[in-house]
Amino acid sequence: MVVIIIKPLSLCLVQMGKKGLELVKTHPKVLPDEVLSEITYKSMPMGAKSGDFSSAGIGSFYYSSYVFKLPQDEGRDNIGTIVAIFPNMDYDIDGIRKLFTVIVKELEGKAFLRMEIMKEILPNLYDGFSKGRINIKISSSTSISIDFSDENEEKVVDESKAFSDDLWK
Amino acid sequence: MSFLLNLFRSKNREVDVTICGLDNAGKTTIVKYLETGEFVETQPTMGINRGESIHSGKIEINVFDLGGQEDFRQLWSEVNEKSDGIVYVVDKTDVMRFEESYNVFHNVLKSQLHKDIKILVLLHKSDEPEGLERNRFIKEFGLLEMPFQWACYETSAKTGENIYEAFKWFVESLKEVS
Repeated sequence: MVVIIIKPLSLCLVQMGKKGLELVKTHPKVLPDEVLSEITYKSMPMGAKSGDFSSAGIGSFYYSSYVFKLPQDEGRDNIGTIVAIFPNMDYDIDGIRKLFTVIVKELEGKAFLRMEIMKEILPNLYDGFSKGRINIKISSSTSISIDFSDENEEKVVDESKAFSDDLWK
Repeated sequence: MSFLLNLFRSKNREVDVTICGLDNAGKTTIVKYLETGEFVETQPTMGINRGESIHSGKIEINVFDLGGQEDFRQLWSEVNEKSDGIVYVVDKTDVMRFEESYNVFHNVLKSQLHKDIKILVLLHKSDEPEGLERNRFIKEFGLLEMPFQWACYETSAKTGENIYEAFKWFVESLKEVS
């Protein structure tokens, strides 16, 4: 996966609580409470379901969020979101979508898609943004490794298509 | 030609129906059962879900599935005030939250409904052995004192028990308004 991502200001985890949406964790804690409160409510749009991805702005911040299903030991599954907050819009939105999708899919595949585990790995995930590589050790025998900045690979641009697209603009 | 077709085409009447009740009562599961005819595992509803419309004769029923969490209940009034009918779902096994459900229901009755509204109350999850029995529920939930046209069924989206019968009554009562 080749994704060039700038480091977010912060990552947040939100889940549906008994009263409504609740902020589970933010890392690092650098954003004002009012921004976090707004992000909590806007990270999951009306009618959202697992797999949905959205991006929007709040004041001078911008965020992208990915909704995922949280399996429960008893009763129905819950839903949560993972949110990346940025100081501007100059980030690779599609890259964030791909990255969040892969992380959630990996955790789900290993039956580790639990909010407790997500909380634990959030700092690792955040550090991974600057390294371009995420290495998460979940248990003694399970780890997830995602490399999303392969500098040897080049972005291929179809010039002819780009030109024809321009003609219609 | 299209003018003539439109002139003679029998016009469908649209009605809006809301499904409300506490979180985890089984509202979305009922909507999914109506759409698919089978039990589907669901996740919490984020605010409001617009379900698939149900067609019955000349009536088209628009279903609004409302999230039951406390924070979303403030959204209910806007939808309920415009509704032709409401379905209120109570989890019969959740005896601990019976009083909360009672208070929420009576708040809806007092402040969010017009006088001609039809009310279907579903004592849901009847496949579970424990919980409230229908006759006792009707008395204790204050249904007998309601000044609205209403019905109460014990239902299960797992077995499909009474879902068809309950909505048959509901659709017939909505037709009376047309």
